Amino acid sequence: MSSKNGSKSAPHAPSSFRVEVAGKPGYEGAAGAQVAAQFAHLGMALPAEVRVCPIYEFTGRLTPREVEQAAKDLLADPVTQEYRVGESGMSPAFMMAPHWRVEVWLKPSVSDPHESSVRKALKDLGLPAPERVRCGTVYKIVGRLSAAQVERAARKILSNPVIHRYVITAP
Amino acid sequence: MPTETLTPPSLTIKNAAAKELVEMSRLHGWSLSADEMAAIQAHFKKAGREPTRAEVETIAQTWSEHCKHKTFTSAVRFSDGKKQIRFKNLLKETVFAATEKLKKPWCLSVFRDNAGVVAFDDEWAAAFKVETHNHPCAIEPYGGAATGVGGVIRDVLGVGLGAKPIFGTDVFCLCPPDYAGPLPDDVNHPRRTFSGVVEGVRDYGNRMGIPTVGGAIWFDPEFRFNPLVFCGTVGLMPRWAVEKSVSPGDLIVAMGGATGRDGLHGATFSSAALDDSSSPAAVQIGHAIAEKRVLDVLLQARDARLYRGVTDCGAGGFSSAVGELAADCGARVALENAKLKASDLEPWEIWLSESQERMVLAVPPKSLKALEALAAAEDVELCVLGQFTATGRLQVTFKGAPVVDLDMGFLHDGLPKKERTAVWQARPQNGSRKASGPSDAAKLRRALGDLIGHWNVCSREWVIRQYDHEVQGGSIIKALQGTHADGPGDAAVVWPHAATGRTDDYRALAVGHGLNPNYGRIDPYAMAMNAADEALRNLVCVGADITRAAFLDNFCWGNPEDPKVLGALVRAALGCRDAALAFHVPFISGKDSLYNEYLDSKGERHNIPGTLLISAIAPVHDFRRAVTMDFKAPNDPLYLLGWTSDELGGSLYAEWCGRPLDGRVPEVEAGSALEHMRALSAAIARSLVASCHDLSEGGLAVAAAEMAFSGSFGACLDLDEVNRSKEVDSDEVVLFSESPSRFLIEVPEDKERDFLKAMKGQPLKRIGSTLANPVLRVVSMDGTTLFEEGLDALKSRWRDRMPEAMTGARPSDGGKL
Repeated sequence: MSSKNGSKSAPHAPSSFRVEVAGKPGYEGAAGAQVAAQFAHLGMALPAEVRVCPIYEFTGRLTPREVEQAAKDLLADPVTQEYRVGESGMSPAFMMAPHWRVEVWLKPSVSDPHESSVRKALKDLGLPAPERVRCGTVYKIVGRLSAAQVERAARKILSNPVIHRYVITAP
Repeated sequence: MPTETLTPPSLTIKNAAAKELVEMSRLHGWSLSADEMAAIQAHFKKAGREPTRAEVETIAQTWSEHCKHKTFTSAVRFSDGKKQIRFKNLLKETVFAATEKLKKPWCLSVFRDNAGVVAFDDEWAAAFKVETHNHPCAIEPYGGAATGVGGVIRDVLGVGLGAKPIFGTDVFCLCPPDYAGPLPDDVNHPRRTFSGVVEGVRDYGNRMGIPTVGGAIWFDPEFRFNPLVFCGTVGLMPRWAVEKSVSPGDLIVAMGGATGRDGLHGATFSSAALDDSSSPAAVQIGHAIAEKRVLDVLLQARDARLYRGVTDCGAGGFSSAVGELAADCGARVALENAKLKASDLEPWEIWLSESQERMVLAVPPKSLKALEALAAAEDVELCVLGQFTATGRLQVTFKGAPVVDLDMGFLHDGLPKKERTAVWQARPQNGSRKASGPSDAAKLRRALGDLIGHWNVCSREWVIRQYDHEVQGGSIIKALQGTHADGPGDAAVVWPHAATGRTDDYRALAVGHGLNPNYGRIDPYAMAMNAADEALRNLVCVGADITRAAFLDNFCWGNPEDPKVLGALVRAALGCRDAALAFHVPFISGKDSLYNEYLDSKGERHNIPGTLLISAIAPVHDFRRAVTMDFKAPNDPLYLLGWTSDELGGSLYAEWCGRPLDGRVPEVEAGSALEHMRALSAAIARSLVASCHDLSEGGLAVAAAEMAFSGSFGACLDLDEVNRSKEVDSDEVVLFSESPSRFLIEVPEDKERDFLKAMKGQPLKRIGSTLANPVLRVVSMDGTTLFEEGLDALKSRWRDRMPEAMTGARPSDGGKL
């Protein structure tokens, strides 16, 4: 019952890995521009750039090598995307001007079909089943925005507080 | 009934005071009234024990507005100031009574299963269901709309022994996305609701490989707190699969997704108004791929005849699915057998969970092995929950301990009958606008430009292009038509034999909708008649056979405890009955969503305008003869079918003039309309018509403009030629009146004589012709040219409205006509 309100944040167990996927230069995707355009509806200046990236968190039973394999063979498209595990591996896809970072995750009380697809695919790849998989989205926002404005955008555009939690990191 | 105490925690209601019972219901979110709680108390007093929580939860779900339609099936005392009507059962004596009276032999299953079923040909039947998912869409538009689509697809999978979903059709009532008024912080901005709902429908339908072929959208700021989202699915099934029969001894098998703590109290939630503290547990994210796998197993198992009954897990989860299938026999369920997402679920939570993508089947024990093999091959989980019995009881245990032990009779018929009061007071007729004298040409021209870009007219391309409307390969008449594939179609035509492989059979199905809450503001009876008329008009435009049409109703209303709100609902139900009888079109299924109200922080109630959607389905005997609405050639004669009266009440033009409710609301003369509609659809089926479009919002002017710019040919219209009643004395009425049952028809020049012969005796009049010039030229009743408007200008206003509001882009900048 403890997870019901969903406000408890997960402590980072040592065996937890994060994989972030980003489009290679020229393949950043159209989603960012669409998100940027919506800032106008909140009466804010348009950000100079927004990038939208999937992010995954695995907990338990996967070795770093296996996480690397999952990222390479499953989570990132080798032609248009790159990935990084944790903070490592600064590659061109992850080079960006200083930006606000808003991570949006589903609350633990909400079942995530994306998560079950990832679990299934890991199994199909012959990888061990992690204890926990979480799938989220990172919005990287370049622009002159105040903390309060980013907070408002997070609530009104980037997430639905009914089902999501978000974490904001300043540039 | 056993008297020993059931699994704790039991509730203590046996000796509770009435006030405590009500408080208990509120605390647990059961949405049970004082009377209902008292009935439950009396039942358990008689049994000599306390109920378990699971038992009261089960009763609350079964008696909920969502499952039981308790308002619609209740006794109602209705008064309209002049006469009183007492209904013993509102639904049975209105909508359903018409169906019984019409007794169409091709109606195979009406009002008793998860969807309505009509015969399509000797071998196949079509199942159709439309239902709403309003409350979840208000809170989480994307998840709410996706699970709405998933739910209605499961309804079609769970009708009879299951139908294959062949297309979807979805209707929304939303606040305009450019709404700039104040909103409470907990209410999603309409732009977000709109894009979220569209994305939810898109992702679920597209991922399941079911085309979304059409629908409708109505915009009105009054939907800002409570958007309406109607999800519809049509399925195809062999006629032998229409009936299900559960036998004692059959295994209760759950198939599909695992059970989690999802969407608890979704059904009772539908009996409650939204307020600032609405629960997030009612919201889920759909998993289309999981449902697609269930679909694949189910249809193979159906054709191998591995089960005798099936239903979907919707609101109320296992409790209502098992309860419904076992209603005539009984069931024993061991909940520990359910596949769970989390290990800490309490038994009542497993029983009530509304986790998506699950179906419940009645499987003869000898077929279980074969079913398990099929499920394993498609990677679908399956578990045996228990067995159907002949005890007449619903008995649920968890690891041997009893959880629920209820009498089926009490569960399904124990709901205390309550007579409700309904009052209807006709609005005083506001004086008709007198605008005699010379027309203000500039004003009418301006009105046309504004109306063509009105939220309730403008192009839906931004939405439609997000949907896959081609998958399965059966989409014949698509939502967007014309030379640039962007004109607004009337009805979708789908060829079911794309799914059966009978490629030399050209019969198809057409689906159309009718909805206009503005008319309902003046008179809900007129709204119902007009919705029926519009749904049929849309079918006629493509050449469907409306003698074989069937209706579905969907009522979305505010709080029916207010006698005025209920009075309006009764008026609409009477309209449905009369429309069905007059058009000879039976209702085959329906749904209602009540309590669409928002309680703001100041305690003020905001009800939605009572809204009725009528959806219609009919066969097209040869789809090769179906027509689209775009003009096909220059210099073709243009005919207007039907009478034009001064009926601007509730019209877009009246709204544009700033007096939306002034004037007479359109009145349907169903008898004569039916005759000319049948004649027209027969003429279309004989290929005597090049294009046809019905006159709806915005009247003749808007219909002509749409046909012209969709086909890239102009038109000249002479308003004096229009068949009209005597009181019509101005150009504005002829141009913008929304009189029902009218069609603008382009006839190929060389078929004009045959067309006139086929339409002999009908209220038909040639009012102009198509032009090679891309202009809409309108000649006034006094013979002078009223205005001439370029199609480019009209089209860009029509096409740009929505994309501009949603993305800031104007497609018309990208290229001309």
